[in-house]
Amino acid sequence: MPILKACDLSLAYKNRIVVKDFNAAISKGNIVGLIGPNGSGKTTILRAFSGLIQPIKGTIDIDGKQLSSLSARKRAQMIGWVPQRERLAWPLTVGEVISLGRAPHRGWMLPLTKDDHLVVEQSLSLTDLIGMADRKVDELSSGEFQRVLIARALAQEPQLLLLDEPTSNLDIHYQIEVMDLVLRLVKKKEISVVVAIHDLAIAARYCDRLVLLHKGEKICEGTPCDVLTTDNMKLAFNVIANLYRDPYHQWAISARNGCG
Amino acid sequence: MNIKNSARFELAIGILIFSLLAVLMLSFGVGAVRLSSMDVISALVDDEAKNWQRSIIWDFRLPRVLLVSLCGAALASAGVGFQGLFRNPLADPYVVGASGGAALGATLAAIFRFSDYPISLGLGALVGSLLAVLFVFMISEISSFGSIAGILLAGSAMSTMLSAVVTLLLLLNDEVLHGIYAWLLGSFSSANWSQLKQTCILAPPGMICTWLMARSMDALASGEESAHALGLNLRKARLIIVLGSSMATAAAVSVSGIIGFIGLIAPHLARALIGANHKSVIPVSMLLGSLLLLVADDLARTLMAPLEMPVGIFTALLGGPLFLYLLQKGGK
Repeated sequence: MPILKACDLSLAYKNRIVVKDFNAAISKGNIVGLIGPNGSGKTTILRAFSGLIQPIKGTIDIDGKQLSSLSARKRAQMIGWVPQRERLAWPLTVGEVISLGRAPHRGWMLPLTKDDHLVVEQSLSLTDLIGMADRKVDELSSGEFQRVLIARALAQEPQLLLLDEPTSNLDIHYQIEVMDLVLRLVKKKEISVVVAIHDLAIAARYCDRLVLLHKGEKICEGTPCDVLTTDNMKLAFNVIANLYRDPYHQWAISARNGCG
Repeated sequence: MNIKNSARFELAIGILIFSLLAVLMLSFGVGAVRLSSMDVISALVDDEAKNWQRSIIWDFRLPRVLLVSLCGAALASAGVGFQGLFRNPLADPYVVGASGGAALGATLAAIFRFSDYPISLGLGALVGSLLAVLFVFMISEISSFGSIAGILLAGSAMSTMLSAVVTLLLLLNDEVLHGIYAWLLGSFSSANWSQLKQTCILAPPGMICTWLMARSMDALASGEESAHALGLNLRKARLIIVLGSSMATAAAVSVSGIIGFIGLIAPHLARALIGANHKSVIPVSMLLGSLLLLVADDLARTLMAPLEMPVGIFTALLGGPLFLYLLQKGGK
């Protein structure tokens, strides 16, 4: 059974329809990338998966249960969300931010237990943040802060992790670091990941499957090799693109604008 | 909270409790009639002490000093609540219109002679404060100025309007005006046991509500989307925070009038001392609020003794510059 299943999903802001009749099934232990040009609906789909917006049509099932029927707390126990960016109103410490990930399990008023602290410790160590628990988040680099947000989502012990453009604010070093981290997590914790991502080379390298969106509709789904074809790239991005293996046997992509 | 932070928190709490006790003792002694600390202690514990001294302590200073401490703590906890709710370091009960709403509510209750029932002033203040805050919240949500400017603009417009209405009402009902004028400026000069009782009904539940929402406010600090993703029921959490902070505001305003800036300064000092975690910020702010308001009230009583100045003047002198400093820092 897939961990997440979306059926005939239509999503809208106010009255503007952004995503039309979207279908997808996310298998356990997979990293699925949502790709497509700006405004194609990647982030909107993620927001619907996280329960932030209600679909105007269609259903989303999480582990066989309808998402809209889950309580906020139950949902947060199953789904972790890593926003593209976040600005904290006050500089909490790294440890305090990550501890918030325990709220879905412990509630909002009871003190955290020993087990909770253990999970927080594990999240710190998985994201390579050990020793930084007392640092204030406004003193961190953007790469470190991105890891803190991932660690907070991990502390929720979710089965599904949603990442919104996790690499878009980072330089290439941190981009690779964060995506390596996601890959490690999927292997170690057997969670599934849906990631909205701009960078096609990174998407090809790290995702098991890609979903290509164009103007709110899915135009192709499959392995990176199946999806990132010259025809699809021309259709979605209006570029002439070439997917190839670089000398390290990693996916790389070269592109030039299609009109020229 | 880890060991280093919790040690810091405990140290801060210890020092503040000690300072509070010291200032409390000092506050018993100062005023129109000066009493030495020996006089104070003997009046408190010794039945044989001079009658007039016992009367000063038991009938005037003890209820006043307790009332001031309680109001200081209540205003501080309301300040933390409103700042957490609006994610805005410049919010406080005065800025978001809660104090103004509470003052109007209490004035109406006084004019309609509900004041024979002691709790009615507090309830009137609570209703006024709730309505004002909800209104400011709605306006700031839909304003085009961005959230920080939106709240400041909506809140200050609201406060000005409300205080104009209060002034008008008092002018039209001049027999009430006499007793209520000092109250309006922010003062504890008429503090007594029945006011203390009234404050005890609303302030502690308000402060407890706010404290119970500590972790929720930590989550709200990350923004709506993240708080939602962490499983927080935003509507419910906000409602409880508004309720708790309004209760605390109403408790203070209904006995002492509008006293600005305590709700602004105390949380800021607390964050500077022990970090931003609300579970620590709330108790430390409350102690700081008591301490600051006690000192301000002592100054108000002594600087021009035997005349009394409204305590609001001193909190404004302390808090105004801080507010401007935070504003020029861009509300960071």
